Amino acid sequence: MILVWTFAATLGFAFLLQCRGWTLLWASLGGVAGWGVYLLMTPLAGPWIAYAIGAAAVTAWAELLSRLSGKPPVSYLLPGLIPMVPGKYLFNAMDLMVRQHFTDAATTGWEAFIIAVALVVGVTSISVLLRRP
Amino acid sequence: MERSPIQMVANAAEWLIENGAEIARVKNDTEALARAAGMREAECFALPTGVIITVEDAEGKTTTVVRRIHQRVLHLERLNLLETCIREAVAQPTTAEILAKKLRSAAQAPGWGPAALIPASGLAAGGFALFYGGTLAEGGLALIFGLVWAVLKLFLDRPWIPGVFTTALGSFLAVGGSLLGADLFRPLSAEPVATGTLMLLVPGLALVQTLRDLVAGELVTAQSRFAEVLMTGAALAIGATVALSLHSGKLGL
Repeated sequence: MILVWTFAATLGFAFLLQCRGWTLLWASLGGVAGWGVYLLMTPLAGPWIAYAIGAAAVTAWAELLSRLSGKPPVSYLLPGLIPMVPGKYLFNAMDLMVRQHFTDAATTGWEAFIIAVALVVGVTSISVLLRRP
Repeated sequence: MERSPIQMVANAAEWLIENGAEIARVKNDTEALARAAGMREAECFALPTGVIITVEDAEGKTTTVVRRIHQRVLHLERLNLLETCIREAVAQPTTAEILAKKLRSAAQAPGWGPAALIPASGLAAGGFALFYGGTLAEGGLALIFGLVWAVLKLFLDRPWIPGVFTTALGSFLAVGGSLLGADLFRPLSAEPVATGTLMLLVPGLALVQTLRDLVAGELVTAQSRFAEVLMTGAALAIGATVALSLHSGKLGL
């Protein structure tokens, strides 16, 4: 069921990012694919590596669709990454800081940073491998 | 209408940045477009807040154009159209006049209007509330807050209203509304509702783009984007702090 909610949330964001036409559907499916890969990989590789592999899956999906449609990969990549961006961690860090739990806030903020780094590692590694001259 | 090919190239760079292109891509696209427009040499220094382009024409005359960027949004359809125009111009050079017309038309491509963006905002907020483990009722409440926020944002998106103010207000409404909703409709939990609605505001994607710029070697851009992330985060914290303090009675209200 979580993949249905992932699709709904990504589709909503794809509209907000001004995707048009079939890009809406394919970009949202990219979000589902990325989160699905993350869920599959978490027990095998731990959460941080799973985030990187999930982001790599979304990037590979975006590059594939870019070659098929002629649109830039970013049209598919950014909406597809939305389910993995550490928004909840950022909110929790802020909430903990407001409640004056500074150590927990720093830990959660650091986790948000590590997730963002993992996403960038996943995106960059695939982008470099599949980059066209 | 552009006064010269360099103005056309500067416009293209400006439109790319305004619509959220990666800075490394702006540089590559701008330099490629300048060469396609007949320039012998082109150098582009782009930042999220401005762009400087220097070109040398066929006669060896050097010209520099500076453009300030006043607003930036993520508009993926316009980016797609602009990049398609530039790619076509590089592959098959055309007259500057036709190219300028195509670029302007791409930069002015219409986006989704309120009739689509308001339900989309509700869908994103509700979808994220459920994604983060909320119940259907909590997802429904987040959907309503997403709709309300999108309507308010239509009135708040004005050049004279600072973005941090809009974000702080959105955070206050999302957290305050979620706490109030949880009080009124027990046993709803405020956390998934607030988190789902706040996903419309948190700079998660901006943080990822900051790190991508850093990896691409765009150090100055990464710093300025990180400052933007911090500002947005601070605005979110201020709005949430006021809502949480009002709810817990710390402000004595």
